[in-house]
Amino acid sequence: MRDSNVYDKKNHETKIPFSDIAEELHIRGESPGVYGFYASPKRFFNPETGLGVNYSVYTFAASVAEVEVDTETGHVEVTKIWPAMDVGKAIDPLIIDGQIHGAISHGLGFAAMENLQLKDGIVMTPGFKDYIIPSALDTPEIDDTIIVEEPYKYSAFGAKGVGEPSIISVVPAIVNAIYHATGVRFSTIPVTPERMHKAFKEANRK
Amino acid sequence: MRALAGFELIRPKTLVGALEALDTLELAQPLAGGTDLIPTYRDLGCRSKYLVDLGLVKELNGIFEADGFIQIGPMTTHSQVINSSLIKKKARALHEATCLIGSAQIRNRGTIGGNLCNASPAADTATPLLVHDAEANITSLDDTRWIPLQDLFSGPKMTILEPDELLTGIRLPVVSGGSSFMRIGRRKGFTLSIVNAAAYLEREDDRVGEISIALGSVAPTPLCIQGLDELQSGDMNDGFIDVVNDICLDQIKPIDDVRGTAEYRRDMTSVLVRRAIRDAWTSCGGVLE
Repeated sequence: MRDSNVYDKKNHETKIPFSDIAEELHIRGESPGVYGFYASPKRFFNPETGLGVNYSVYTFAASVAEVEVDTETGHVEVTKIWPAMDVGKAIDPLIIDGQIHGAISHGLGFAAMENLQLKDGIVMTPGFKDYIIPSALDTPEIDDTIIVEEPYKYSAFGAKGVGEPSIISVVPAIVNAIYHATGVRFSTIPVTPERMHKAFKEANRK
Repeated sequence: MRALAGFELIRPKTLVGALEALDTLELAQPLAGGTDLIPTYRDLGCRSKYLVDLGLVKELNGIFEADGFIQIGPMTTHSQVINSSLIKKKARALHEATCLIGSAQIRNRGTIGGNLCNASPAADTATPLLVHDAEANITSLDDTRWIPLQDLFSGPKMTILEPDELLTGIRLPVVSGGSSFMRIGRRKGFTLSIVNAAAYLEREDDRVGEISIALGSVAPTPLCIQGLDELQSGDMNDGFIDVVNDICLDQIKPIDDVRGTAEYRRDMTSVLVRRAIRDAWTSCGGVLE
């Protein structure tokens, strides 16, 4: 199949428009659908050596974050994110942008807000009133996504995943930007204003 | 989504009708915008038999200036307050605080009277009104009286209103000074304040004529700081701000909760008091060193 035409496998000169085939199938009352199975390549992992291929495809994402930190209140404002991702093949670039913008919002919540608090095993933040996630107002400016297309040989058109993996780099990018801005290194997230403020207080005491 | 059940909705068209309903019906509760009441019912269940919706009572809605006061009907929505040029010009802190409440949807439904009667210690409209010396009009079938707004609050989520009484008006004197509102939340919108602060001051050249400060979410009720009268005619400088800040810190009683610790609230009180004083000062034409 090429350019909306279907070609004879043996005789490449012979072609028929796909629309004609679709029409003929419709007249005969037959479906153009086919069912098939796909098995992803076998994964292997040696727990003793820690070596192997744990996933059938590895996706790569990178982010740069810019933050402003209020040194009096500890409030961290993420002002801009520059995202980049190897998606294998960008089948629909607009969907990729949407996924990555969503991931940036998720990542911001993960890095600076979402805080599941427990007391004697009971969740103290059971609703969105107290379990804070970012709103549109908190979303930073987002630069054009740098899309890298290094194809994956076992998938359709060489595409890799984009939804989940794009969150991962956003969080350390923000936390590293906080370190770059303030000199305070966090190993616990979220970096809430209160934790940031406490870190400043402790740094001043030393 | 589950429908709320267990109550009957009454919709009087007049204030007298509303007061009669509250006076005669057992377990009746007034309903303003419902942005606090309905989520509470959903979480904790309905405790009233009758909800008296005040939405059709026209005399409870609107903002106007008369006899040296700005009068605000308790059923005036936050959006109406934001769009009022009178409030924006003469009670800047209230304008700024109202802009930060909830989301556009909440501001279109929620009312200033509802925000006050819900009596959250963190209520964002309470602190600006307190620094503007606001009074509350309390009305029952037999009686109507004006009280200082501070006296409306009796504890966290508690007011002095009797079951047959309504908050029927809010008024604040028209003043010449500048005011400011500052808050710390956990994100930019749709969130309860961890601490909020409002400041009002009058300027006499480089000196402070009158000053008042109110703080939210650092005591069982919104808190108007006492004892600032004696500071009148101080020079506006860091020393003056330090003195005001110390007076504020003496009067707050913050607690630990999921939103923040008492220690953080105490530290943030200092930050917000300082910022609000400086902002109010520049808003009435003052210059800072």
